[in-house]
Amino acid sequence: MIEGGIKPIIVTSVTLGKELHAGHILLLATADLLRTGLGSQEPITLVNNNTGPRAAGALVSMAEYAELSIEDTARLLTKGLITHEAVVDAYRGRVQSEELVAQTMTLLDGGRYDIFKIIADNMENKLSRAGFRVNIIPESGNLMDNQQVVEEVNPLWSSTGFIFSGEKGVRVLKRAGQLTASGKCLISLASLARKAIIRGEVPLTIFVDSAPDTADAVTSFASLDLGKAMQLQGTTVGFEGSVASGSKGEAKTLTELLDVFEGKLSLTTLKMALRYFVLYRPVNVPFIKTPNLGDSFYDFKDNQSLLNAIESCYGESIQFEANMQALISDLKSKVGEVTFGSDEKLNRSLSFLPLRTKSILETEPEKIVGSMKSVGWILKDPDEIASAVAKQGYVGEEAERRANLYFRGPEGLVIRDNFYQGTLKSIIRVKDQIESLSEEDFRLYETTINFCLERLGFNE
Amino acid sequence: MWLKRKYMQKEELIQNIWNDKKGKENGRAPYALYVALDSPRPNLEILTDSMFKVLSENTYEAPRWAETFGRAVICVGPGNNLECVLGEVKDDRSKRFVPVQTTEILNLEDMERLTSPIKTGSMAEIVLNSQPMTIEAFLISYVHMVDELIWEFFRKSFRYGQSLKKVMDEGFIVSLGSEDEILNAKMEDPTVSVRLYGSGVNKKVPKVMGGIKFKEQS
Repeated sequence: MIEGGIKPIIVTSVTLGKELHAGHILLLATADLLRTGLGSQEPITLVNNNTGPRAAGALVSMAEYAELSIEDTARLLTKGLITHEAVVDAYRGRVQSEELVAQTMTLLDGGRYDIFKIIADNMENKLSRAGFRVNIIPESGNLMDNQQVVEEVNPLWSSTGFIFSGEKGVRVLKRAGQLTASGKCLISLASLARKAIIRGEVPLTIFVDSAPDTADAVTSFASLDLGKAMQLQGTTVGFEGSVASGSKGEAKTLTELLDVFEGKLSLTTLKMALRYFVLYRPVNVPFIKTPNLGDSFYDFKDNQSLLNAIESCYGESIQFEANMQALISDLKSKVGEVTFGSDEKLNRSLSFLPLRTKSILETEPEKIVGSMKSVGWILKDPDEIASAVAKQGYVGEEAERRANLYFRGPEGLVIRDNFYQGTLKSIIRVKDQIESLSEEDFRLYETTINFCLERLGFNE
Repeated sequence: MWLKRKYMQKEELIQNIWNDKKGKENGRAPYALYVALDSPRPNLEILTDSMFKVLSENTYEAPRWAETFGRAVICVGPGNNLECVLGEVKDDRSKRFVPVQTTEILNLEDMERLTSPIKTGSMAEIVLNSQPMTIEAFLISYVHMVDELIWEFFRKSFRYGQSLKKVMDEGFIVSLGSEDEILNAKMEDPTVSVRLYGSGVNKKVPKVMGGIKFKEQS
């Protein structure tokens, strides 16, 4: 729990019909950066979407293959009695028949079955090996316990089978008696917030995801008396300028990432590398004039280039930490009787150091989320762009073409903002102009730097 | 045997009604009447006034809307107000209206309560099909029957504005009846105007939406 008794609940969601891939892992790394940024010790909640049309399609496909009824198949899957591989095969070859899928969705919306349980258990274990503390919960469980919350959003329309939120436009939560993706997302948010309220906490629920359904759920959440909810857009992975997908080439799975890192680095450092990756690697945005992180992706030539970048980030993160210790030593070497800098402007700024330190240590959670929602840095310098493109694995003419594209637009490369990273940058920027620091002011800087490092997850 | 003959008669009547397009055109409907609801039990009097207002204000669009069988979209809009808007189907602004899809089935009592404010008109009686249906199916039927009433006068005068004004000035009453009652009335009195639901988009809308009994002929 952070200052003021606010309890941040960080949640994201994935359909675990197949393994998590690098895009999901980077989403979790973003969520983890937010978690440390908010000073939370709680695990991230990952809602396993096991009730939507894709889950229903996989269940129908599995039932057809096993020559079992849909309910029997759902029961066996809930008990984890069907192998991981068979579930993934069914998910990949899922049935698209609208009528059958609709009927099966109704069955799954009842909340009694957790059909992707075996994959969820497997992923929770592997995420723990990678250093992530993630609590995977089935969406079906939320639906079973809290489905009624959707009706509370708009009591006038309750029990009609059509529920919408009128907050800032119309957002449909239930249509023709069936929950929409936004409705399910809202139920998950409400379910988590309600548990915190029961424990006597004040929840701030943050959904890390770029999907429009998430935005709708977060907006609709405002009509419930369950605290505040926010959305933090994630960023996915792409290759050769397009978002990775089944047909255009998939990003490495979590297992493959672990295999690559096993033996090379200690496993928990994978998380450190990924967090540094989120902090410092640029993302591709389709329109640099109006950069929107919701449409962004980390672009690479291929999977190997992505792996190289992650591996390199681990080394860079170690170096960064060392640089920060050097910064503290450098500032310590300036300790004298009084504080003064090279010019009047800096001196004025230094006079506010105690106040500024206090405000950094007590920054409101909304501001921290807000900073991560925005673009911190746009790559404009041609050399800077060329270097970023090279790190994405592009060479020769292709690298030149991409660098040109990012330099001239409409696409561009940007780096996500982070309040604590920005604070450290501002200290680095002025440190050479500081000529002397009082012992007290040095302590303030030292406290700030260590606090920022902690909030960036370096001390975990 | 008797039942079969009765059934055949009914089917034949429906086919005849279907074949009589009354000067309307099949094909792409460029306009739709967006009926934005403020609740699942809207006040039909306010809704009707809003429908009349929008039809009278859009003198070019309204007759074109009607001649393509007056597409009605029962929806909710951003302001959460009860209002009718005549909009182009392809216009992006129409996307602000989200179609309502309920599952709750209205019973006769619900329908009687809904139609109770429309009881004072003198020119015609609209008999709506009373079979159990959703609110959006009920309102689709209602809007189409009001459109049908205006169209019946338009067929004689060829002036949409005048026909609309006549309906607005003289008014109508609304009652409920079974499909058989509506079709029987048509068999007994060929001037009864019956409207069928042809699009089939909403599965809950009855095939025979209703009939109009004229109290006077102009």
